[in-house]
Amino acid sequence: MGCVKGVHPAVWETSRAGAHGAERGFPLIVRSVPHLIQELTMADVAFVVTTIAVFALVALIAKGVAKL
Amino acid sequence: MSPVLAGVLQLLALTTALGLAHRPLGDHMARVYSSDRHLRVEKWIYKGIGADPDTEMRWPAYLRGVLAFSAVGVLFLYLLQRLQGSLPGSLGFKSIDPDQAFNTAASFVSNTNWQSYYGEQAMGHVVQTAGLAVQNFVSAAVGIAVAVALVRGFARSRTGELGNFWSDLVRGVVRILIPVSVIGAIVLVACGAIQNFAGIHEVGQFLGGSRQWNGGAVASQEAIKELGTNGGGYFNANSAHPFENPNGFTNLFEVFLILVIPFAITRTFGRMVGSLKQGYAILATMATIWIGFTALMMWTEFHHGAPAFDIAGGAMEGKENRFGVGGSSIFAVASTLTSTGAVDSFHSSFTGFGGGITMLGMQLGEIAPGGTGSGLYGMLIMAIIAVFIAGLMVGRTPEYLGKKIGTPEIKFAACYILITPALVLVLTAVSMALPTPPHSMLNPGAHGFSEILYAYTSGANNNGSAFAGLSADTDWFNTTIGLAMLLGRFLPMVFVLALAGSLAGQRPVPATAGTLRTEKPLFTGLLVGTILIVAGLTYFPALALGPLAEGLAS
Repeated sequence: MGCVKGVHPAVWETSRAGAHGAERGFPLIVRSVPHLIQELTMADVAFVVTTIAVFALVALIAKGVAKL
Repeated sequence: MSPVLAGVLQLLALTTALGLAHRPLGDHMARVYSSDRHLRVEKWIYKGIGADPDTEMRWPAYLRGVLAFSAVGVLFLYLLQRLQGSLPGSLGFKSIDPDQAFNTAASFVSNTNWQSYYGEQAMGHVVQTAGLAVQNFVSAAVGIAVAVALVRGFARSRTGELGNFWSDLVRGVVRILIPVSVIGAIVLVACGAIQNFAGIHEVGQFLGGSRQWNGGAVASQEAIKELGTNGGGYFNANSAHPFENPNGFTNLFEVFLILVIPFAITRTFGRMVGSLKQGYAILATMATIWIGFTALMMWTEFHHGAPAFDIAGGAMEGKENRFGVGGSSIFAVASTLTSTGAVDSFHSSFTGFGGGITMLGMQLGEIAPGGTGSGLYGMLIMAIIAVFIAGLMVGRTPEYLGKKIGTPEIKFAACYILITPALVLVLTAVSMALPTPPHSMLNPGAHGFSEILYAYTSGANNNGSAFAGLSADTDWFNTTIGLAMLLGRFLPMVFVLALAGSLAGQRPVPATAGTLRTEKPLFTGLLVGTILIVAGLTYFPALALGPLAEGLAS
């Protein structure tokens, strides 16, 4: 858990906008598929590589541990 | 009724409930992990993931399963958050930023559930249910699987085989976590927790004005949040929020859910190694520390030393009136002595010593009783350290459960206990030394230092609770705490599984007159002392700069 983050007015505004219609049902906000790709950035590549590197490092250490 | 008496009675009721659940749940878990039969639904899952549940695995193969499954989990959860803005059922929330998505993915897969976001303002129904809730189940099951593999290492001889990771994972989810969670969710709904897929509602406030709240599958997530010692709240206020934790009874029930598996698994351990007394010795060690910490926390928080405390009947800042000092103290200790991290009060507002107790609970390695599975394997590592120290005292080769504790076993145990402190202390020191990270501290001096020390302690130990006061949604904290959570979860597992493989390959050593009796109270005392001394020697300097300095100054 955490109570560690600043407020996000922009997100809040968006969420309010999405709350209208059929008495707060399940807002279906679906955008086109090309938009999915546009959301991804170089930072995503960096974090995906970081994740793979962390697990590869743990696996490498395990190989070393097997020789202890 | 005085608040102190109410707190003591709650503790007694909780202890009784845990005692009643210990035997049936512990025996059930032993049957689950010892059975050769697969349920039909499990067979479908094995077919779906292409796993053969009957193949025995040696420790490297078992570890490969853990790492592959978890790595895929991190990447999937990361992608889900990054694409939230384009997914249906997102309540209109935008996609999560890359650094925060990485932090959250690492957090939920590592069973930490550190949250650098406001749940009700960031995560839609799809991410909550298809991403975060799923990880609440499977990350807990991974922990139990690794613990069971270690127990098999003690129970088996002259084989390096530790069972099958996929079978242990699926059985943990299907036969233990889902059934108990369903019961837990029904109880919570009956007591007022919400369970729906409603959108955003404008709600009038008692003191005027209005506030917007979204609904959600809160009760079901709350049940597994506590049962799996995960801790990630649907709402930012976590278990202080009335939608998650409506009243005093649910507060105690949630603490029960947090503690029930970690305590019951000691009976599973006793059953599987063929000596219930060995399980009771581990249980007694866990219970001694847990009750001791709870009593100490209640004393510090009830202790009247200032006019404000006298008027309120205790240190009420940051605590919910619905739960009081007693309920908040019990919750805080249960949460930080396990890897849960859920909160019903704000640890930053506890007295200086009270805050120190929450931190020390995590720094012990969360082994009393600890997280689901991780508590047991952490405690067994400490048991090995304890028999090693006892062996040094009398000049004998140490043995535990009929297995010799030789050079490789001690190397694995020593590496295990060094990983987390190294992550916590190095990252805290670097954060304090760099010019920018300290700007995230809300308070100067000892309390500010405690905020950063607590953050890394919580992350690396896979607890997830926040001290409050630290603005952790920065690139630095999201990335470094994310790395601490992953390394703090999976590096220790390497050594646990290597140890399990080494033990399983040994032939049993018959007990002699000189063998240390590890089922006796003397060993329990030795184990408690070893845990406190190891943690104390490791963390005392850092604690002296933070909560101890603050507590002595106030």
